[in-house]
Amino acid sequence: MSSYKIILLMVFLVLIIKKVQGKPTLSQFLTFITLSCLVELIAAPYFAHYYKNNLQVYNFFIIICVFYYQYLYYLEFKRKPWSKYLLLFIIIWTLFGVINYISGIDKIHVNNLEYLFGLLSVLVLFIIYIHNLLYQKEYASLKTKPLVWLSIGIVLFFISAFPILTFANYFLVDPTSLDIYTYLLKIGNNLLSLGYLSAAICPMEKI
Amino acid sequence: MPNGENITYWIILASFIMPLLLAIALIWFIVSYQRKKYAYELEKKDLLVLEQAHIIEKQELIEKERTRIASEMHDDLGSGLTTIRFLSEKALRNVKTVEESDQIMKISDYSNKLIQNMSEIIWAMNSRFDNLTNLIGYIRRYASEYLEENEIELEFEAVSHPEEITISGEKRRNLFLIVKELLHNAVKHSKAAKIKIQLTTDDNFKISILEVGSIGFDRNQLISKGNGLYNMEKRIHNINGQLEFKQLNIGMLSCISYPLLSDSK
Repeated sequence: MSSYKIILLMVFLVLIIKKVQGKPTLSQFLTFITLSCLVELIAAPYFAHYYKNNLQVYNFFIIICVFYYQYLYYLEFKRKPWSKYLLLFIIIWTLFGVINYISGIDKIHVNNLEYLFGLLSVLVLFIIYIHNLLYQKEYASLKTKPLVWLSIGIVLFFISAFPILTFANYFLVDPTSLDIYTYLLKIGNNLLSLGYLSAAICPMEKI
Repeated sequence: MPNGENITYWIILASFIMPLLLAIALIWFIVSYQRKKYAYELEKKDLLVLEQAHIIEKQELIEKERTRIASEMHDDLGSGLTTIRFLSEKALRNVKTVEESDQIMKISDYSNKLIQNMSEIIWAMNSRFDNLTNLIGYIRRYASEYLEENEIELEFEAVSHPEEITISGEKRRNLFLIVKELLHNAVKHSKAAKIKIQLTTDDNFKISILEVGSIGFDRNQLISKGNGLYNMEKRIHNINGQLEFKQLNIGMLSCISYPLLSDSK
């Protein structure tokens, strides 16, 4: 089993323990991690084994991931006057993702465009969040802010997996140099899972 | 579809530039957040200092007010009561009947008692006397005067403390009134020939009163008879102290222990 899948299972266990103890964590984090575990540990291997490719599973999971990250930032910025525009953007982006997914369901390709633009939007939201932390919010220890750790995980994943995500469809046609980029993607996945783990362990303050 | 050379070029460029940008951004964030933390802690410290200054100012005002009330009581009420005592003693010299003499004597006695009680209140209120040395001196003076009046021998021993220890007016008064009640009981009930008072100071301020030759008392009987013991226990409880009685072969020993840590040194 890949190391990032083991970390994902650890995150799931930590969140279950926190749930039993009644400790707070990010909104719907357990649901999201449960879904991630189902996709990474059951659906993706199942499709790879029986249908010889699991791209459509990941194409759909991409939409869920980006939607969840955007949703977390929306909760963070809920009190901002422009939050309704952010909500509108999230809805439009998700609809576009779903339509794009349905329209390309019979093709063997990676929906990298929506993943890249989705993650870019998350990156922008992350920068706004960091700006808020530095210049608008009162000081509080970063240990109590799981969104910071999750965001760092996402950004690290985005940067390390950027080449393979951008040129994924090229590698499907010409897989000669695929190995090194798959290795990069694995590193990215590990960093993302570590980001999830940090966010899960984070002793979030009750609001 | 882009060609292989182009892709390699873009990948190499992105693989160098993006982590570099991220590293710069993260370092900038950490440095800025540390600065924010420092500013926050400085602000918190300033607030604490301000709050402490406010508390000290408030305490000083209270102490000033206590001293003012004490000196006004001393000047106004004290002189009035002394005049009543003086006039009643003067009137006593001119009375003709026993009945009149008894009544004037009562006025004189009450005035005396009031002067004594008021002087105790003034002593407790005045913040100038908020120290252990003063309390020891006050107890010593009272014990020697009271026991001499009642013809009981006193042996007084006070082990002085090298440091000046602050003790608030309320606590001083409670401790003094307990000693006063114990001495009163000793004179009234114990038939003691001699009383030994020992005061020691370590983490606790301890007052031991030994009534040599005392016949002792039954605690339950004493509680049912009056308020003295009940009041003493209430007072000692209020200042988080302890009061114990032991019947020794040579007499009755009463021990008061008061923790000095609750007051600042």
